[in-house]
Amino acid sequence: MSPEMNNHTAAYVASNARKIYRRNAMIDAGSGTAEFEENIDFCGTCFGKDGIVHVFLVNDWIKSPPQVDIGHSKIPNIFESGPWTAKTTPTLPRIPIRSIKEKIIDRPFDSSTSDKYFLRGDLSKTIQIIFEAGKNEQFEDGMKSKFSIAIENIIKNYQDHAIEMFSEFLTSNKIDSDLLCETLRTLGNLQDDETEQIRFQILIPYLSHPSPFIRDCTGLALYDLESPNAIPYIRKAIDKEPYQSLKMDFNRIINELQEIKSAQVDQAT
Amino acid sequence: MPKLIRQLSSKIWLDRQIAEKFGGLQADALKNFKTSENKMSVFKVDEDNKQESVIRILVALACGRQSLDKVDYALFDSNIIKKLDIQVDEIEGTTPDQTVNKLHIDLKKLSGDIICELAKSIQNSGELKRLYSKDIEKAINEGIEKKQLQVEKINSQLLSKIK
Repeated sequence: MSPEMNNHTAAYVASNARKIYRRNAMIDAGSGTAEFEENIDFCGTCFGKDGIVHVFLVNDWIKSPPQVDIGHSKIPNIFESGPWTAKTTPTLPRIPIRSIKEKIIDRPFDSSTSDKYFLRGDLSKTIQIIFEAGKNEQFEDGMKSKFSIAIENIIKNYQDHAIEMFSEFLTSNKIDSDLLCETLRTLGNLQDDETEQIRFQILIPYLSHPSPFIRDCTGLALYDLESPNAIPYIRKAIDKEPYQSLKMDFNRIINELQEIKSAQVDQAT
Repeated sequence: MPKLIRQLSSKIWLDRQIAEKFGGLQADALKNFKTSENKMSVFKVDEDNKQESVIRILVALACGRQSLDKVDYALFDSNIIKKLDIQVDEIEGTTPDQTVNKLHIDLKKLSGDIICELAKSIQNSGELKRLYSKDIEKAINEGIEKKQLQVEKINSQLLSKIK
């Protein structure tokens, strides 16, 4: 799969990183809620048509290294254009994406491998920034948010690595319900067959989230995902669901998915 | 009693059963009643053809979006507006459906207290419903076919996603 151009996400992350850093710096220099350190030099690698877009978090560098190791390549003089910028550099080798058929829990990142370690750290920071920036957005049905575009781009570029990190991020952080809903809806809506199974696996547990709003969002995400495999999970959710309106909505979603399943069977025969 | 329709962000915030457990109107429910210059849009439902009118209004509203998505809505008696002494302006809407535009009403001079009362009244006596994206897609196609919708006024991003 050829990844989508990602300058937009890079610029988005870079500009928001600056805002977040500044906000945090005002509270407690260099160690706000986003936990950025004074000398963080690199927060993300995004693949673009013309090469790789790198987003740097640089603030008052005193000892800027002349070059930085990224994967197997060296990038010379990356700080020339000044701090807080997104820069396009010559194409670097793609970091191998592992098989999406493996289950998430079976394949934790190996932090001893340098490129994976880099990827993990970079993605983690990028995702952190996207979620911090997302707090300032208002989400509307049927309207693309900058937050969802950023998530889509990261997933399209890093596929299962990104989804794994999103999953970790969602479970290990307290996420605002609107932001969580937008994330789930984006995961359901994404047109990317290669990550469909993993997105499905992430969505399913949210059917039993304590918040009815999040359960509702999860149902809608599964409706958008159009995976009939969700039917038994939604049935279980109906059995446990205390609220009538959600039961009815889940039933409607099951009907839709059953229609899709029937159409798939018809096509196959 | 004529009915009014209000598009909601999420009907679940107004759910009666959830509100009962919560102990009243949730603050989140007010997200459904965003105002601009203390005004808020609603639409009159054509009583002669209620179901078709509801769908036509919702579809016209969905045409302003960038992508197909569900529409949550509340259907409620216009009597609520009278009881709360809310002022109205029958101002033509700006959707791609001219018939729907004539059904548009601005509720005006809304105070925070009135919005809360309106939300409570809709929660207690309104119908909270959802139109799914597939229904909307079908209805947009029908609207285009019947020339009810002015295609040039439909969001171009949305139009490119309609099958």
